[in-house]
This record gives sequence, C-alpha cells and structure tokens, in this order.
Amino acid sequence: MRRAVGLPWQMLRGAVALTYLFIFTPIVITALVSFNSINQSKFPPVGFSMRWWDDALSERWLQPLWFSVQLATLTAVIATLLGLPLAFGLTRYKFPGRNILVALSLGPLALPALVTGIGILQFFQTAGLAALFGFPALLIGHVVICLPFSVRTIAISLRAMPAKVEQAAANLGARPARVFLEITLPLIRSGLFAGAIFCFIQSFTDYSVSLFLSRAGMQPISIAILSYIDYGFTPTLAAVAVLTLVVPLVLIAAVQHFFGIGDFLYGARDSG
Amino acid sequence: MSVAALASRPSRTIIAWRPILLVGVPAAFLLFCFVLPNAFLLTSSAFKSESQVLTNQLTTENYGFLLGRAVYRGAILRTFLIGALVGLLVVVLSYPLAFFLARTRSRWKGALIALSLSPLLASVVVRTYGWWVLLNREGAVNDLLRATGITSQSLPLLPSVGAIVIGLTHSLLPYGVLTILSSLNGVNPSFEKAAMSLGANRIRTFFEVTLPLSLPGIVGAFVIAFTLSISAYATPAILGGPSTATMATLIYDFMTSLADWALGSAMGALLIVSSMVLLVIGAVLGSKREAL
Amino acid sequence: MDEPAVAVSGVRKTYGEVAAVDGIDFEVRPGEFLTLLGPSGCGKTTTLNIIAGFIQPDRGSIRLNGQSVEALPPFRRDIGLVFQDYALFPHMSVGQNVAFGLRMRGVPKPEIAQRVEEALELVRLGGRAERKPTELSGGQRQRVALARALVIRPTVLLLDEPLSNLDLKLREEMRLEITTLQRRLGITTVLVTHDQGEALVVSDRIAVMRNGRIEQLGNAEAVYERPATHFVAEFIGTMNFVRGQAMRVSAEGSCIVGFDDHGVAVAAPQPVAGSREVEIAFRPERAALRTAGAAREPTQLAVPGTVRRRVYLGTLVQSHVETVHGRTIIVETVNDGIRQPPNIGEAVEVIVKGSDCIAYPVS
Repeated sequence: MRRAVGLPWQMLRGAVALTYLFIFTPIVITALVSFNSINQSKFPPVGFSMRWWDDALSERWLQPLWFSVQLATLTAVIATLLGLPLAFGLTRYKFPGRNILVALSLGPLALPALVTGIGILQFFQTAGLAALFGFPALLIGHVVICLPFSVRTIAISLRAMPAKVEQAAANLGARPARVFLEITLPLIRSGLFAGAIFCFIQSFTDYSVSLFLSRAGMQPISIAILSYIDYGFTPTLAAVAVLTLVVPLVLIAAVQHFFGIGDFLYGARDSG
Repeated sequence: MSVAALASRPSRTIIAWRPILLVGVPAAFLLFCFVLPNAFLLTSSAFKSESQVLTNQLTTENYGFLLGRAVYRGAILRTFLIGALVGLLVVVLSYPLAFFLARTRSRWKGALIALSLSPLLASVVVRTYGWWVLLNREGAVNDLLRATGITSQSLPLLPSVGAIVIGLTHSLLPYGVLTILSSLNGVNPSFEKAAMSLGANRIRTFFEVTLPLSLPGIVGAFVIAFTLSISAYATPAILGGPSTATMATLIYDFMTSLADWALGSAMGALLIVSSMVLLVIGAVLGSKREAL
Repeated sequence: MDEPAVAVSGVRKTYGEVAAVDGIDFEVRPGEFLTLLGPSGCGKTTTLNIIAGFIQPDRGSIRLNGQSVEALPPFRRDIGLVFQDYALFPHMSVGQNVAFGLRMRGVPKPEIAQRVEEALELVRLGGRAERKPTELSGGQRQRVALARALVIRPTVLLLDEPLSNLDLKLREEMRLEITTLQRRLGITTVLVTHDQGEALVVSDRIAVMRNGRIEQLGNAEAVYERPATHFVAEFIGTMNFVRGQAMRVSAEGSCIVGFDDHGVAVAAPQPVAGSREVEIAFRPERAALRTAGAAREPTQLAVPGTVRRRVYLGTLVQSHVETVHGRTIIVETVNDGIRQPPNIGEAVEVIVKGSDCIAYPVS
C-alpha cells in the first residue's frame, strides 16, 4: 500500500522533524559548548578550544567513567545470572507463591529507584553493613533495579521458544540439565544478550540509586557529574557528558559487529 | 515487552523442589536487597526521630510534619503538577512521532526508530545539561532575546517549574514513543483500510479507529512519564532551585544535608504510594480498554 | 448497452524491479461475480487494492460505472470490502461496526438503525447488534463483515480471500451463503482467492492470474475444459501431461500432434510451431484404460504404461500409470461395479480422444 502523500501526512512529517529537533538539540548543544575557548558554557561557542577535552580525558574523569563501566558490566552479568534461573522457574513451573514472586521480580520497576536507594542506604547503615557503601552497595542496588529488565527479557525468549522442543529432547532421552544446556540455552541466547545489554545501559545511565550508595573515590560517572555541577556548568562538564555517550555507542556497535543487530533483536541464529 | 510474559500460567506441574532450587537464590536476593530495605523505609517513616537518630517511638508526626507545612505541601503538589504536565506533554509529543514511525514506508524506518530511542543511551544528567546551557541567565535563549531586542534584560528562565517540565519531557520522551509505538504496531492495518473502504477519510479513520485502538498505549505512556517524573531527582536539581523543590529533591535534602532520615523515609513512602496508585489506575484504564 | 460496473484497463504496478501487476485488462458486468484466481504473488491482491484505491497504479485506469476513479481516495469510491481477517473494529459492537459506513456518509440516525438491523437480518444475525465481535464465532464474524460492506449499498463488493480463515465445513457453507446473497442482491462482486475449487463454484467468470498477468478470463467451464495456457491447465483441477510432437499446424487453434507412432488432431489454444515438441494435456476423467496392444481408433491417443498405484476415492477409483518416459498419468474410473480397474503391475494403454486433448508449446 502506497502512502498517499496528502496534506495531513506532510504536516505529520513536519511535526516529526520538529520532535527530532527537540530530541537532539540539547545533546548537540552540549557537544558544541565543550569547544568554547572561554571557561563558560556559551552557545554558540565563543572561539574554539580543545582544552576542556584535555580536562575531560584526565584521570579526574576517566576514573569514575571506568568505575561506571566496571559497575555496569558486573551488574549485567549478575543480573543475568540471577534473572535466568528466576525467569526459567517462573515460566516453566507452577509452585506456591509463584504470583508473589512474579510481582516481586517486577517490583523494582514499579517502585521509584530513588526510594529503593534510600531504603538500601538506611537498611545497610542500620544493619551494620556501612562498610558496603561504595562499589558493593552500588552493585547490589544496580542489580536490584536491573533484575526486572533481565527477567522480563529472558522470560519473553523462554516463552517465544518453539513449542515442545524441550519435551522433544526429553522424549529423546535427555535429562533436564542436558535439555537446558543443549536446547533451551542456545535458543534463548539472544534474549540473554539483550537482557544483559539492557542491564548494562540501565546501570550505566542510572543516578537515582547511586545517589545514596556512593562514597568518595567510588562514584559512578553520573554522580561525579552531578556533584561537580555545584561548581558550575563548565565546558569540561559538557565534554565529559559527551564522553559518557561513547561507552553505550561502542557497546551497541560491538553487538552489531559480532552478532548483527537483527539476530540480536529478533531471535536465535540457526546454529548450523 | 509485557507483564503478560510472566503472568500467564505455566503449563507443567512438577515436584516443587526443582523450582525452589531455581528461584531460591534470586528470591532471597530480592527479599534481602529489595523487600527488606523498602519495608525498613516504610517502618522508619513511622518512627520518631530525635536529634537525627531514630527512636523506637511510633508516631505519625513525620507525615503530619510533611503534610502540615505549606512549603512541603506545596512541593508535593508541585511534584504532581509537574508529573501531570510531563505525562501530558510526553503523550502529545510522542504520539505523532510514534504514529509516523509505525506507518512510514521509508527505508530508514529502522534507523529512525533507533534514533528516536537513542537518548536512552545517555544519562538524564547528560541530557539535562543542554537545557541548562540554553535556559540559564547567560544562556543561548536569553542571548537571542536580548540580541533581537525582544527583551532588554535577561529573563529568569531558570530555576523554574517550566524548565523542569521541559527537561523531564525531553528525557522521558523515548519511553512515550516506545509505549505508543508498540501499541500502534498492535493495531491491525486492515482496520484502517476497512474504515476507509466504508467512507471514512484519513482524519476520521484516525479519530474513529486508530486513536481509540491505541488508547492503552496513551494511558501507558502517560503513567510511565508521570511516575518517572515524580521520582526524578536530577532534572529538578539541575533546572530547578529551592523555590521549585520537588518530592525527590526534598528526599535528597532530608537524607543528606538535613540528615533527617525519618522525614526522608516518610516522603519516600508518599512517593511509593503515589506511584502505586498511578500504576493501578493505569492498569485499570488500560485493561478496561482492552476488554472492549 | 450496459456500462461495465468495473473496468480495469492497462493497469500496471511495479515495486522496484518487480511488476506486481503487469498490464491487465478486464471488465466486470453489472451483477456479475468475477473471481481473480491465482497462486500467492500472482498480483490478485494488488489488483484488488488498486480497485479499492489503497494502491495507486503506475499506469492504466479504473472505471466504476463508467466513472474514472484514479483521482478518488479509497473513502470516496463506494466500494464494499471484506477482508481475509474480517477487520471488525474491536472497540465497537457488531451494530456499531455495521453502522460505521452509514455514519461516515451522514445518514440520519433513525435510518442508520433501520438499515443496520436490515443488514444484520440479511446475514441471519438479527438481534446480535449489541454483541462484541470477539463474542462471535468465525462464521458469524465473517457475516458481520459482509453486512458491514453491504449496508452502504456499494457499487461493487470486493472480497479478499474471505473464506480462508474458516474450517472446511464452514467454508463450504459460507461459499453457498455468499453466492446466494450475491445473486439475490444482484451486486457486482470481485473475489480474490487462491482456491480453485472455490472459484469454480461461486464465479460467473474467472480470471486466472500469474506473474501479474491474466492468463485466461472465462467462465468455470471454459477455464476447466479449455485452459488457454499450460499454467491454467496445471493450476485448475488435475491435468495429465505427455510429451508429443507437433506435426502439422492445421486450422487456427488446432494442430496434429504425433505421439509414438500415431497422430491425432487436438486443440492448440496457443500458437505452436510445426515439428516442435508440445505438451499434450488431458483430464483424468476423460481417459480410459485398456489392456496393452488392442487396436486404436484413429481419433484416439494411446499411451502405454504400467499401473503403479490405485487410489480408492469412493465414487471414483484412480489408477496411477507410469509411462515408458517415466511420467505418471492419473486415470479416473467411475466406481460403477461394471468396469474393473486394472491390477497393480499390469501393462496397460491409456486411451483418450484427440478432442479431449489440448496441446501447449513446451516452455
């Protein structure tokens, strides 16, 4: 069916163009002000200088950036390791308390992350676990808010599996563990990856939970930026902000390169 | 993605020890790191706090304090106003975009969808920065207004509720697009063809068929934007100030500079209740439409 | 002289390099039931969408009752359309679905109510106006879709594979119901289907399509008895093919073909060149079997072979005969208790009259 190019459609295209402009203007502006020659985030930029980028690429900022990458990676791995058995149990078995567990595993998505953050803060403090603040507490908090993404994505791939293949394997003599390893796992591989990527990005871009669980020297990049804002919105900060975009973009590019985005999004490849 | 993927009933019944073995560790993790902290927060909100230390005295004083003072009541109302406005704006802005993305025949369709969702790759902190650059006293908008002679003095565009609403709308737009797009993709194109063959022009087809059928997506987008706005900290912190305090910025102040955990917990509890109420309303509205 | 209700002329539509519809012409007379029949990808659905106005053709014209409609958007064409998946609006009741087209036309409320009730009566769904489409069975949804399309009193009714989502028994019932309704209302109808059985039963005329072209346009008898091309012969019903030689092209539309040591006159709807190989086609029910070596009448074609299988169909018995060239010929014998079909492994000759054969050039 050919889209008749009528006036309403043309108006819609105009509105869409404006919306994209709205979406990208702040990001483009942030990128541009990082090249100011003065230490002021002026737009349009005054002069041209790379010195704020030198600042941004210094240890001062690369340390929290690297911290965030480590945190997000470990969060994705742990959330997947916890999400896989959880999703498998919830989709394949019926047991008492199952519905409560379903609600529980999606709960962190429904409750504000900020509140989860202060809950963990108070709980750990009171329980004498204050030593965990910094990386361990951040990891726990991030896994909590990422688990729903992981469980949901994996549960969807478990349900999308061709019907009865697990039964077929069992019928051919495979024990449950072999069925899982040789049939289920290969078929949900792309779901596992998708879930892990969601978790990585969710963790990498989070600030709500991190706000209350960081400590000096153990700050993710978003908190480092947020706490630096008190010193003013300098071009350095703009450069750092742009720098943080590089990490998820590299990740997506890597996924695209190694798996092909189509396979990655739409399901398992034929393992021929 | 939907809750239905988890909620529909499994087909097999097997002895219970295997699922317990499977879900045991994750369930324990959620219990210890999600349920207990939130329960703790709800509890501590109901205890008296003296000289920044929680006592074991049960009280409704914290809630009374928050709801009794005009400044906090104002902040709570402001938070809901912001949530409602952002929800509305997100729906209004993301619907046309989602509709275009659902219906376009362009070969760039995939890229355009990816592009509209790409801001999710950036932290809200990063995405809000640009708005500060545009809106601050020495920012681009004020420069432009002065240069064109529309105003002689800088306008105080920041801090303001308007700036917060713009910033939040901007950062939550991708969620709206995603939700409405998936709902529009669920509308069978032959419904629209059927309406046209029966004499409805494109605009009537849209209002009589497409829009009502995508209503669950609209409700979903509104609820998501609303709930995420009322608990957002970074945007009000960057684009607002003391005069535009919201529930989230107050929670931060209570927890850090004021070190009054009881009040922070009470405000947090209010936030939890508000979110739950919204989600329930959204679920009821959404399912009501689906049942039709 | 009646104006044709639908006139499609020189219509062509390409997608990139591929021609979905490659220059087709046909007319539908008022009150006629015409079927566009063909395998998937033959262009029949594209043609339907072009008539309905959902696809703009690259070339050619569409006239409805003599009026050119290329410039008209789909919602001004007054065409009733029934979809394969019914496309009943899920947020409206049955009555609201049927009323939709009338509402769009600004018909006054009391008249709408009356016409909706009439339309539902027509499809035997009176009193179901308050139901939701989801509360109806497949066959009932189909009938609502029909009522919704008919209530606007369209110039022409277009049916896009309307029966393919129904199970076999229901399909046969609806087939009958649609034709009865169509005859009763005398509404011009164009059906798109890939089911040749359906096409033969319901249509006044059938346009057999392939690769965006119409291969043959004729009534059921014509397309079955005198398929214009090898494709039509193969697509409709069961057809046997044996390889022969065109010996002499006699009068227009016929030729003498040689098979083994004998020759017979057969019809040749497409031009065949002399002394070239041809495919000789004939129907299973027109052939007979006899023991090998008996005398052949001069007007008969005799194909020697061996019986390999027998398929018992109740009223008929099929014998599958393998020829010396390795082809399989199906011969159907009426199960009348008089003629005994040969046994498996028996050497036989398949006998068919030259007048029951058609020759096609080898493609």
